[in-house]
Amino acid sequence: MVTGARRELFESLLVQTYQQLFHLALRLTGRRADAEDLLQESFVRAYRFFHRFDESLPFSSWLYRIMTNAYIDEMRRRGRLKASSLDEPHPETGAAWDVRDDGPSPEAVVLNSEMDAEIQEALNQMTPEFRVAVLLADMQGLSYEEISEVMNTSVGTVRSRIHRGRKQLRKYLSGVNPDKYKRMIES
Amino acid sequence: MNCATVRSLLSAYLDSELSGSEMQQVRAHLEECADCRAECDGLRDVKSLLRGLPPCCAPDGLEDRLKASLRHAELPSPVLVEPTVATGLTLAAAAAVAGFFVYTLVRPATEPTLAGEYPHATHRQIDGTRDFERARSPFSGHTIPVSLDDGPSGR
Repeated sequence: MVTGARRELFESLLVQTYQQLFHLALRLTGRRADAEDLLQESFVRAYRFFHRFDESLPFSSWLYRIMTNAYIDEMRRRGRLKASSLDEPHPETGAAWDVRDDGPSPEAVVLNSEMDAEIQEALNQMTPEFRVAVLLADMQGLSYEEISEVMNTSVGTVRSRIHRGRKQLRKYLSGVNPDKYKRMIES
Repeated sequence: MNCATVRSLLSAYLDSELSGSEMQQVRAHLEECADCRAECDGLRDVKSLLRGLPPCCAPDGLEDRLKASLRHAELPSPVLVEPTVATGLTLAAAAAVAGFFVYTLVRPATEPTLAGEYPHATHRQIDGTRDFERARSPFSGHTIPVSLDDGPSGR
């Protein structure tokens, strides 16, 4: 349990970082409600393990790691649920499992412009690991070395995920709106 | 460097994440190769789009809700009842009574005979490859699985 001065320290770090982390969570999930859930889950996990936090390292990097792990875990869990809904009928009723559609509804996503909506939809189509790597690099400005620490993988894997992730984005965007994104069309 | 190698390095090139000599080699290739230059421009546009995304405003009250969730995380877990001999005996007695009622409900009206083959199937299970019914053995009186795959219907 975190008490006294450590709790005050944690809360001050939370206040300094939650806006920037919400930005990442929203782009990862595509929904405000899901982003808030992800952020809350991440801060609670961090709070429980705050005694393990190395204060010589940036708090935001530690939170990135916790958040991206929580996000990828959840996406894998949902993937398993969806797979079972397609493959296995309910053992008693024979009906398909009732699993909610996890795709973001258009009105649920915060959209600042039409282009923003297209980019968010393209992000939603990406493989979760690629999405994390690309957003950490391009939106949060982390180096490959920092991303490899956050994602607990090699720099080579980060390099590959970012490259393949950007190609996924380009393919989607140039497919939905070839005129606007014609320079992105693969040569 | 050939085109395939250069293209695989383009994202790292745009992020300045290559070694000095690799950066020079890719740059030299791009000056010569229009196709790879177009490929590089497309990836640069993707990167620029993401970098240009405006920051999202956190919803009102989020900071307070996050702090409240920390306080909730601090609450102690519910205290479990300390196990004692008295609570153990009470639980054992309750289990015995429950077991008796369950037995009387599922017990067959008549005892199985050798004349009938597994007449008291209770429920069916599917193990993924073969269908089984749970049936009471006429020999031992125990419940055993009986395959339906090998039955006369040819299932």
